[in-house]
Amino acid sequence: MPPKPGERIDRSTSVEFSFDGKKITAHEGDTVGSALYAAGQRTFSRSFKYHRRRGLMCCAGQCPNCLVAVDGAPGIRACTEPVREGARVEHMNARPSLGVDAMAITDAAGPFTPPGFYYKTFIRPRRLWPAYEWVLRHAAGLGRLPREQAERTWRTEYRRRHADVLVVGGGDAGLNAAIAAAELGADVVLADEGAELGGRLLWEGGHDHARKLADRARAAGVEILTSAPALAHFDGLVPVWQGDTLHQIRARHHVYATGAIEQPLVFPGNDLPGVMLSGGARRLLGRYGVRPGNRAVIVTASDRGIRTAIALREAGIEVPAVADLRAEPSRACSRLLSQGVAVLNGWTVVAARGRREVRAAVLAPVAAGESHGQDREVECDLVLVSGGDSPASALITQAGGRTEYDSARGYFRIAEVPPNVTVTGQVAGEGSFQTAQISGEHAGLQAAHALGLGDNRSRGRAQELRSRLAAADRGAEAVPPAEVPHAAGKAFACLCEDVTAKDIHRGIREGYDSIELCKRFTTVTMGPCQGRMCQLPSVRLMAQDTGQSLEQVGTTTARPPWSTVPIGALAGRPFEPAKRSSIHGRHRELGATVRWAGDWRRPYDYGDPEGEALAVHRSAGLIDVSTLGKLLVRGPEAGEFLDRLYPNRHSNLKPGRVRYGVLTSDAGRIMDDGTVTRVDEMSFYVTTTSSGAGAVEQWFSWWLADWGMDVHLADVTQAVSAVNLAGPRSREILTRLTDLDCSPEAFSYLDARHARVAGVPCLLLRIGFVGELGYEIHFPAAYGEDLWDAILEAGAGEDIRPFGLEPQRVLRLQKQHIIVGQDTDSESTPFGAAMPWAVKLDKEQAFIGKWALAHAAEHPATTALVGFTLDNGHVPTEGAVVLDTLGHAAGQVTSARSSRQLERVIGMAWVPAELAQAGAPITILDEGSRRSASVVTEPFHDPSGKLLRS
Amino acid sequence: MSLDFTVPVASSEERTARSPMERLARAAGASFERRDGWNVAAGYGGDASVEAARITDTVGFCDRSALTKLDIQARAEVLADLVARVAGGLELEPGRASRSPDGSTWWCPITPTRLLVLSEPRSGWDVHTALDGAASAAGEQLVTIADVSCGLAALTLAGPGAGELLSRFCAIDVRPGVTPVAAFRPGSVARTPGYVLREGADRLLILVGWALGAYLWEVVADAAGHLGGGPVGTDALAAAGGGLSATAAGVAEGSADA
Repeated sequence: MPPKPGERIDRSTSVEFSFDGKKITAHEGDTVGSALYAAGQRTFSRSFKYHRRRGLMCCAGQCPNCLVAVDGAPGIRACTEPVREGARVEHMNARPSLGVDAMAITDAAGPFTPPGFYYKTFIRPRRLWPAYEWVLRHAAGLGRLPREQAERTWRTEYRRRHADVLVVGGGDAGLNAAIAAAELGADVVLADEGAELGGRLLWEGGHDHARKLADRARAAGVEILTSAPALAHFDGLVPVWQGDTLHQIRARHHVYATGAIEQPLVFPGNDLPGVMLSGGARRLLGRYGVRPGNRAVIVTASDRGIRTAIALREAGIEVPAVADLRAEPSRACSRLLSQGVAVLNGWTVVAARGRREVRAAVLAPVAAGESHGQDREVECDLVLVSGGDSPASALITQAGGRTEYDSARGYFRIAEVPPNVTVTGQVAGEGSFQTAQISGEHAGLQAAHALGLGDNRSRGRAQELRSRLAAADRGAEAVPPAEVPHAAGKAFACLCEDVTAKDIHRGIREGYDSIELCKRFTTVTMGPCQGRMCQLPSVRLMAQDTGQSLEQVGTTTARPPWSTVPIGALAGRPFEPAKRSSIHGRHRELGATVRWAGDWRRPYDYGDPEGEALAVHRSAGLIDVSTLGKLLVRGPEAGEFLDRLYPNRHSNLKPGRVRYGVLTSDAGRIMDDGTVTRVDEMSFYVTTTSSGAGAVEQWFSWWLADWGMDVHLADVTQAVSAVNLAGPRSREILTRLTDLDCSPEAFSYLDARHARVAGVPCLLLRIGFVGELGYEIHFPAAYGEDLWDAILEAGAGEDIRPFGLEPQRVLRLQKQHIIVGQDTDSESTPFGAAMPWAVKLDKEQAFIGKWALAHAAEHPATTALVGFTLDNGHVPTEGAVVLDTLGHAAGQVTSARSSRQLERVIGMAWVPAELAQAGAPITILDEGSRRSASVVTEPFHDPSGKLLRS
Repeated sequence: MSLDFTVPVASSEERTARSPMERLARAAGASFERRDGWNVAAGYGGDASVEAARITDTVGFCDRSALTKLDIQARAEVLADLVARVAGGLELEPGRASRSPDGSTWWCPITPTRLLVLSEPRSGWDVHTALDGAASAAGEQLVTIADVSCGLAALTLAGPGAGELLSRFCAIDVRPGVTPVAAFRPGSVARTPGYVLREGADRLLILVGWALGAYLWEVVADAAGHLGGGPVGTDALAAAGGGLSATAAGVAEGSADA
């Protein structure tokens, strides 16, 4: 087409891309769709179910007809995707080619594949399900995603944006709203799904006006997001997807200027390439200079189609007939009539004819939804339909708005909106250019006023605009018939899911007689268009079939997302908060295998777990235990506070001493365990398990708030790092680094000492989870690597080795030290877990769980936690079943390892209480095999604790 | 002091306090200097103008984990009295930090009975000492001063794109009208609990758990790179002004790069 003012393309440029390997030349500003259409391409895709040819229809990113893959990314709408030099565009859902699609045979099999056939067909015989699944998986879906993560190079991220006003829709009304609100001082964001602001102004002659409005909005400080569809409205949060970014916009006020969606008509052949919406043709013509066809028949329910006919004729396109569903000609028709165009009032289209593309339209008079049989076939290569407009109300109803059927206009109009939402423009029924502008400005002022902005002048202006809106003429539309019944062929109500009018009827006959049930049965409105093209037609079909009014049928719930969006955009950046100790980098350098342990990354081993465990027995080992929970409990009532929380006593602990404590719930069940150190009269230092740190801190805080005691609590888990230096040579190593007297007499088991170790201020605890002489050294996290290095250097002559979690687990198992959560569960009490000594029922202080523990003490548990050993070398699975003497399941293995030090398999298990005796035989059922084991009730290693206390 | 095992003050010159972001900063090209006992990323490469340009034109991020951070707990009136004694009559308002008159310290109320104090390491010890003295003067009233310098990693975003950068991983509204200079906001930062302090018009200080410091660096570096920003050293940050008065971060004590 010759150049026209306002077109989007730059004819002085040229861009090359390929479509199915064929080179296509386009201009800057073209979309893939416009360029392909200009190159003569008419079939863009194959339909979802029947693999029918589909061509451009809306040219606005609304329908599913032009879905293609671009550079490997599937599901891209060609009609809105800008051309890029070198882009690789490929068709989807057709094999071997778009022109010859083997699966098109399903079109002929249509009578045998009604909705729901797959629910009923692919269930018997059950043994064939794998084959069915293979077939269905290969037949379903549109396009293919790259299989490997490495191939997915697309970067996505979130951007949070707070604003005073969010305007969705950048047409005449939206722009005027944004400008009005911003000029009154509001912080405004405007999001529009188009590449350029202006909406229909751009192709209906208002492009200069649109550009001026956009410039004015920018000057007023409006943040403008283009090619950015709003996806949903979640309690004030509106996600807006723009390329690689998902804007999460929270605004105090929302203005929806989402416009209206031109509706297709339901008639046989309504999906043939060449059947388009009138707006689609105008976009091709006005924006991209592409001739949509040579001979166009237009079928319309409003003046929109009439204006299209005029525009086509001006472009030199023949218009042999215009069928206007309205019984009387509108004023706009007079221009066409004066040009000699046949305008058939009270007529509609009853069929489109053609094989690969449309070649004729069959027109017929219509009255009250019934054809009178006076068909007229008109040859054409383009059928432009305009079945009226449907307000794009989905986001508004998600925000809490309500719609009701407007019988005069034939659509569901917005009847009510929540207080912080304003609707304007076509979506509010203000569709003319004049009223869109007025209503937009009014909405902007209203939004600003709701936020407390503006003055008397702006309020006066709002009043004036209200008066002008009330007096405006809004034109008329006709309500199209639901379906023209007598013609043969498939009449599609839903192009996305290939749901025909017959399918809707069938669904109703099968009992799915509400629109929501019908949606679920037929999948109408569930495809990529999200009901834009099919909601209203399907509601009309249902009303016609059930005899209900459209108001009674209602609409389906508008669910997010309103626009199709890649899952990757919703996922955003892969944030995975990983806690790393201050020594983490050094572990990596030492070759540690790092694994997740709760929300921490921890060294599992350094390549030789058995050797690491042996080093702890024979010389010394060093493990990073910074992940332990660490709490400071301070105050004059701190001792009493701990006495209330723990079942044993802590208030009588002397400064410089450490005590083990098991924390129980109100029900007396083990929650966590750790140590309590009294660092001075007022201060206790509490350690917890690594995974329980957060829960214990919350537990303490909760009770502290409840009891209101004069105690302060500070979580220093991350502030303080800790290492455990353990093994027979650990004392010598430590002595080299500190002035502290480390002799057994001066620093004995369960003592705590303040000292500088390698110049670093430390708290040293003489405790030993791993069962050898050991020191737990706590210090400021910033010295992690330095202190670690210093200890390893001091121990180099003693064959010290770093050891990881796995050797630690073997070592503690040798001592039968429990791991809460692994060896215990939510039913375990200290009595069952062989720790009755941890409960002081004679304590004068009431404590959490006392009542339950007293009860447990009087009623021994039926199972008990014990050690066991196997001689046959088999390491049972953790979780393997322990059988009672009758062969019934009566317990389970909680931990099991092969100990190189002990040269046997050891473990812990819950067994029937009567078997909890040293030497008692138990049977373990593990992966189908029965294994004999013996109960061991005292630690496997150093049962007297002599080494620990040495 | 019984809790001195939480305070990062080593008696040996051989021991250097290190940020959890140190390795990542080094990988990004940082040159380090030992300052006030900490290994500090003073700059990145030889051309200081690149870092300066980030702060003036796009956005830079700077590891400030070496800040002294004190967690103070006391009854509200005791806390107010304590601050009055040490910082001279600053008002504690929820959601708003106060800078001490000499500009060396931020006083950030977390709750009416809890306060986070931030200062450069050089002045941090003086603040700590002064607070200890004031706490002693509180008599029978319980005052707990916990040094959480190594409990919270800190990162400053500086430059006109600071708010935009923050928006990529944090939902806190930092528009100037909502979060003016000195506003202090607890919230989720990169899906982990944290605080955001607006130190200046284009300067946001983020605090998260120490063990998450490296993670925070990775998140920020990724987003900043996408926005044309990058890391900046403490020297460039100090030169830009607007931070705590001791932001020059003390006098170099020698290189700790090795």
